[in-house]
Amino acid sequence: MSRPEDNTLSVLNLSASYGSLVVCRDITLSVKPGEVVALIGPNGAGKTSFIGALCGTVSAKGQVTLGTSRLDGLPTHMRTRLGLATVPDNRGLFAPLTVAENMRLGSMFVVRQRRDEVVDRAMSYFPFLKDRGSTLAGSLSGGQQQMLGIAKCLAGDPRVLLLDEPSQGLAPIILDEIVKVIGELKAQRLPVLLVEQNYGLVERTADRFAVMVGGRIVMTGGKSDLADRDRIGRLFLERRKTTLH
Amino acid sequence: MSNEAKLWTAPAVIVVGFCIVMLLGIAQPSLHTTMFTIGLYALIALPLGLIYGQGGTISMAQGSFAALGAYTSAILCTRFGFSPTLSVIPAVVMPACVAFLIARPILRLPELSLALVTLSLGTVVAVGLQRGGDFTGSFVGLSGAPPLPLVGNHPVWVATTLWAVVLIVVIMYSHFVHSARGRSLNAIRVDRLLAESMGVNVPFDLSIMFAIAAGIAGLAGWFYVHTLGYIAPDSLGAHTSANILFMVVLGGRRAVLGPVLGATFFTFANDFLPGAETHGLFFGTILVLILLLSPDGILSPQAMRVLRRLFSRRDRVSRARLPGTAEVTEASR
Repeated sequence: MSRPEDNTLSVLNLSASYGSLVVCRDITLSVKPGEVVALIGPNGAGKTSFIGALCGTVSAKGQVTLGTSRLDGLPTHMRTRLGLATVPDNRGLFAPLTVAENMRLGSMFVVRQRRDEVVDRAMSYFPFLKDRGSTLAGSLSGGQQQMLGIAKCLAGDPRVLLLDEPSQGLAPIILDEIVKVIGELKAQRLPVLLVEQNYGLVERTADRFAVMVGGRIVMTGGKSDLADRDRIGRLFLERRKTTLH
Repeated sequence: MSNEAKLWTAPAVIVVGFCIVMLLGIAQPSLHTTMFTIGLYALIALPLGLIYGQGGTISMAQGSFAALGAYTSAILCTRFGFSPTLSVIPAVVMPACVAFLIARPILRLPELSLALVTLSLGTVVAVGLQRGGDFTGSFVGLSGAPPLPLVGNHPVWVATTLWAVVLIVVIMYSHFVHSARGRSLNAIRVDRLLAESMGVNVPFDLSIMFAIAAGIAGLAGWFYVHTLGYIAPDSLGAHTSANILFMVVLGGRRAVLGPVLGATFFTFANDFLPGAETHGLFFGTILVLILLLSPDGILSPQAMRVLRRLFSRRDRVSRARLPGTAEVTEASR
């Protein structure tokens, strides 16, 4: 997070597919340090597949760069070790393991000398985790699981954070907490790519946004453009077919 | 219990248990041979406990890997004049290399398919050994393997050497479980895809663990052939693999000492049960009961909870029967 190198995530002409079904086509975007970029769109637009393509769990063509490192073509674990951290929409927790074990797994590839410091910093965003070390992750409430999911990723000292629908199923009070943490991460100059359907969360956190419909980015804009709800709403209602090769 | 204490509990139990049985062996010398058999099974079962219990990857080929190690050493000693001291290296490396080569394509299979594939591997090894002609001794096997270096055939020294190796494996296993690699293996067991997205190189880590497990089984095979001086295709085959899996499941797949407990139970039960038919009936019943009552084996949190509840209940009952207890209870109300 506090590394001096350039941590810009750049995506150039990325297309993702499941076999012959292309779910994202020619996606180009970038997330700079200290910036929160939101990717919004209706259900089935291809947002989660795009996240999968960035992580390497969905097959993709195109260029993905983190700072000076090329990520495309690398296996998933190498991308993570290079600093790409993802909180998936299912929170990405090891449910049968405890909170402490989840945090330890998150920090597995941080150099030993810095491990404690990084874990402490990750847990400082969500202080309740300190008292829940021996609680099973699966027995936490939905909101607490979401926070643990984010903390676990932060324990890996990432260079960029991908958040897939962090507001899913959360109470407004928990959402406030998430907004606060995203703000703090932004202040720490961590690039955050937020995939979200909750317009309120996007308005409160994002610096820039892109609307994805039918696997393509159909609109991009800055914070002020988010006020044009009618236009964005019409785009959401547009139906575009995903294409076959 | 502190982390340091957790690390050394299992090795301490091994040392104390070994000393007690070996001392009892002064009165009953056959116990020394029994200890050798338990140690041999434990050495094959411990790495299976690691890859199955911690990594969630089942293998029914441990017996076959032990046979590969035993045959490698026996062939080198009887055909090429190697000493057992030298042949221990190929006896470990050979099964480890075979395991590493086959690991990548098969370890991505789901549990049942993986069990079947590894079981078939045992059949392939057995058939290969049977059809190997004079080189492998065909159906008859190989005899004349020299005794173990330094300790010879003395049952006490053979058992002590073997258990020293078991102790080293237990210490390494205990430390491994608490290391970053051990945690990543645990992550693979819980969710492979998630483990990969946390930075774990799942295929490579599993292949390495599979190879290490096979190498340790090869070492057990080396002990076997140089203690008995003889090895045949059915000495350490598919049935050994099945028995080893039984020991791990029975003793507790997640606990370091689980495979050792399973090996102890299996060997003593084998010694005391009359007739081969009763073996199947007894072990089958035990397996069904264990899987129903405590799916993770005897040394598992569930089983410990049941025992604790049982003891605390007995404790309460015995306290209630003590004279004066009732009055105290009454007075405290």
